[in-house]
Amino acid sequence: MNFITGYLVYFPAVMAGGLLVHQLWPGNHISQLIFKFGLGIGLGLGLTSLFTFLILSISNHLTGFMVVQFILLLCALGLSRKNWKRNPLLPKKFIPGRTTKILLGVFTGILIITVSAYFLYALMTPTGRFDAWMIYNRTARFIFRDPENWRNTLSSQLYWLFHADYPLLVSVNVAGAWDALGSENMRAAQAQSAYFLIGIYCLLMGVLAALRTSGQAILAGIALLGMPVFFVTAAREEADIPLAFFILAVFALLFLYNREHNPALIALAGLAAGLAAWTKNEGLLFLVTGSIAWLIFLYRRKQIGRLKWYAFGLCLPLVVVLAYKLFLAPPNDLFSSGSSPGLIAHITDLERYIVIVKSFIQQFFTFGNGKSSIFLLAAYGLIMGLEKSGRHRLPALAAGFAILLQLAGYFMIYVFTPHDINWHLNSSLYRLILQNVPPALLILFVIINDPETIFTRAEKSSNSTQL
Amino acid sequence: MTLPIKKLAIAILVLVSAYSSLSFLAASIQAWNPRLITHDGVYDWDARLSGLRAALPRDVNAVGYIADWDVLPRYNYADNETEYVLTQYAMAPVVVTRGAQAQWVIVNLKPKDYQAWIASQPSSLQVKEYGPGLYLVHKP
Repeated sequence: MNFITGYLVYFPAVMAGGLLVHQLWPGNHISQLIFKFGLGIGLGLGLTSLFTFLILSISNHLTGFMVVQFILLLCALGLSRKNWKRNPLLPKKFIPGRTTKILLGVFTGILIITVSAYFLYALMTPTGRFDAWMIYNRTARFIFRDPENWRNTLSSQLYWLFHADYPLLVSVNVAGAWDALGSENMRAAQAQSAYFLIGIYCLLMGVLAALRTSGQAILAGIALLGMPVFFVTAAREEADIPLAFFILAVFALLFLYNREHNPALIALAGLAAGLAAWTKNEGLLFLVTGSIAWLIFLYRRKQIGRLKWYAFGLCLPLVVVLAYKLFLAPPNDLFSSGSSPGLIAHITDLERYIVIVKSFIQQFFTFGNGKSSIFLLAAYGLIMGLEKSGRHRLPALAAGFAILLQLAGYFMIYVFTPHDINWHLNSSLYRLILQNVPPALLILFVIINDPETIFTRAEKSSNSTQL
Repeated sequence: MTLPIKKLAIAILVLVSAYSSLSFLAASIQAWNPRLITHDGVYDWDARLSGLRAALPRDVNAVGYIADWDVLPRYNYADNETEYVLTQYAMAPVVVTRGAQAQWVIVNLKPKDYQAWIASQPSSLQVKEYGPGLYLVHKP
């Protein structure tokens, strides 16, 4: 029962998000609808967290959580009804080809296996893992158990491992869910992670089906299923899954804008970038790198004036994050405990760089908790070759550059860290890589040849041989 | 690359993902422990501290914390740190800070070590035990 109520408590936000995105970006092709549903999950949950936090800050009450969700849902339903004829919600008829049917069958089979494994693992992880209960659920407990004094969760007296300065997207929603359910239902925290994971699949597969082919979208989904670490991390309730969602959303919208030129997509990207910063501290770095990707793209397209739409989408989460970081949150442990001589010693320590580089390279071969790896996917991309049109080259370059910048930022954080470098790498590097794998998969599968092309060419060449 | 190699690459990608998923399922089945559905380590620690938490006056928003690392010359740092953060998680929204400076202090020591520690403290302290090795100390 806890499982079901854990999912239901976020349902209005999830539905509202999808319907609102549908109003901003019309279209009812099945790929678009999948993408919009996925994007709506994160944006709905993100907006709910932002508004609930604002109400909590003013009133010291958590009751805003359900109110916000229902207001968002009412607005979405009202707009959907008003625009029903002009912007229908039911999908256009879609007839899958033979390749798509086969791949879809394989995907469904692997999905059933992975989801079964996920449920077994999630059942045995009722309070999440270390980071989940220590950072996000602990914060949620501070807020839920004493909303009048919720600011105690930001006490600088808290031990550094609690990361009291972390942004509150996940924690506020968990506390709000507990308030709505009347108890500390740990499955609610797990359900929120699961929603974001579903969102990642919908974003990745939806955008690839829209930009390339349904077969390519399904193959990308299969590739992501080959990395069970995503399901494990979701069951553990770690906030890296929501952050991976927002990073993927910003780049997926970049690729879609490259084709559609709808300014609403820029605004949605700005909102997603801001929500990334409201999710985790790494999201603050992404706010910079993701925005650089859009800046490069719009500059090269000679549409720099359209950045105003990005700023429009970004402004609400940015104001909240800045106010939170500047006036409420305690200093971050990475920067508050490091002395200048210690920092210089770290920067000039060659051994440190070697340890970090080795760990990054190791992730290239071992990331994923399964038999698949980044190396294997890179090899797959090389074998498949680049698709010929080249129309996705500019967004791919901009997004790829941003991911490299993000990884470079992580690299430098490991150089600066005042904590034991081996402990820090072992406890966090795979999660930082995880945040960037879905957008990297997106770039890879957008630019390489799709299975439909391969099998059509194969059929053509076999026919010509027979003739 | 030739077409047969590309087709083979697609097949390998699919097979590796399927194998990966099956391995995940096998590992989850192998690790299956129904007790964990409701009683993991975090839950157990929560339950251990529930009586103490209920006994703490509602207006207290910070307590001290004493464990092996404060009284013993040799201790397991990782275990001490884990028990400390678990205690903070269980006691939320009360802030748990290390040391005995606060008016209320949680003492997490084996009875023998506790006896040695309390002997070094002022006699005016009020102490109540909440299960083996767990004490709530109040400075009146």
